Amino acid sequence: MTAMRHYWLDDQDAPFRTLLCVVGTYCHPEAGPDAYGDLIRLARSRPDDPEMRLFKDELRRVLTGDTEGLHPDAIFTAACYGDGTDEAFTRRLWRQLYPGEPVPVP
Amino acid sequence: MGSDRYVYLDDDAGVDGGVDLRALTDRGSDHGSDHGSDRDTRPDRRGPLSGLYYDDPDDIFVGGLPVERRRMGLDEELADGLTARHFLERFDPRLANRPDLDPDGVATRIADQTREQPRLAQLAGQERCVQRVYAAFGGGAFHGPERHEGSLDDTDHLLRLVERQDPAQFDEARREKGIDAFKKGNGKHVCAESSTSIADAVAYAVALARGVDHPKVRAALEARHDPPKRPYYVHVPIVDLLGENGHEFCGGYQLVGEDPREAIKQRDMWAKAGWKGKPRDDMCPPQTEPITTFRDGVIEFRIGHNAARDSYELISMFPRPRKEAPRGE
Repeated sequence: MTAMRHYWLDDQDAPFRTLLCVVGTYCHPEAGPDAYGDLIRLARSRPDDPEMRLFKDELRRVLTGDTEGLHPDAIFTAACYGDGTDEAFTRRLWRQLYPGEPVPVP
Repeated sequence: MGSDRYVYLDDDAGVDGGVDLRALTDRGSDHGSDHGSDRDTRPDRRGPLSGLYYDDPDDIFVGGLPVERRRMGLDEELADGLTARHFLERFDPRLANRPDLDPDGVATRIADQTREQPRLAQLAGQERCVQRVYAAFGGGAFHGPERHEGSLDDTDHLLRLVERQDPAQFDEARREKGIDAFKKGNGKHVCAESSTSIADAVAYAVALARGVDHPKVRAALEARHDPPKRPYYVHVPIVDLLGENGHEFCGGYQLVGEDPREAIKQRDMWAKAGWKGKPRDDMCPPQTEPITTFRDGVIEFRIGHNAARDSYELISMFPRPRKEAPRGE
């Protein structure tokens, strides 16, 4: 399996740190049954929260292909999703967090 | 689930010096030690247990490299001459945002918890300082022990990893349908790329007791409660909590595959078909392997809301094996 430690937890300057910490905290299978619902509420109810703004910006960058500095296995390692690809996971995430907004494309 | 759990070494994989895992799990079969003759009678159906035979959860074969693990004594020295007992006796539940405990109420609390969660029955024989740590989390949001503590054996790990069966689910029919023990309704259990545990009740309690006093975990637990936000998960080196050889108390299994994303996706399809009783003859079963070492690994702490959603609590704690840093880091 992917051999990579969660470097974004300790490196405050890691590229896409907020995205990786958020999906690791709310989307990972070990996050608990209520976590994903918390993220949906958070994204929809606090669009101006600094963390959520940064998260959304980083998610948009990934969806548009602007991934400089992002390790290719980082999103999967953080979220351990079952969608098959980063693209499928991040598109699902956008659709469910921001249902009124079209999914950004490259 | 059947009572027989067959265990043998996968000699086809060229593994030497293996351990009969029945000795570790106390779940022997009635078929004696001639595992080879048992296996020879079985159809050649390689399954998800990493090159071993697998038919269904009633008849599961477990093997491969032995997972490092041992028992922790209360007088085991962990750091600077301080023992496991020291850390357990100084444990303060309030650090974990849990109410303090009346020492005389510990046994009662453990009995109550065991009625709800039979997996905790093994705590009856533990000393009070061990019981007290588990009792402190009783009735709270923390569900670590039911999935990541010493009462899990290899079969529990593999059924969780391959079939997404929740070890905490004690209704057999619901467990075999993948229903999570703690989700509302019929919410399905999810499992990541591995299933791991601190395979000893004392060691797990020590990791908890020391963990809630670790600066990283304390910072998360002491954060201003701001639902629906929750603190990021935290990694603490195993050595910081369980001592230099702390990795020896940890065990588990992981999925195998060239593309881990695809391995999880295929595993999920396999498990879902199993829950529904659909034939899986034309499906590729997930492959697994024991995690051979947790040396230089970490303990992961997950933080969520308490039942009243007015403070943060631990919701889970489990070990992760060492991962390499990405190239260029």
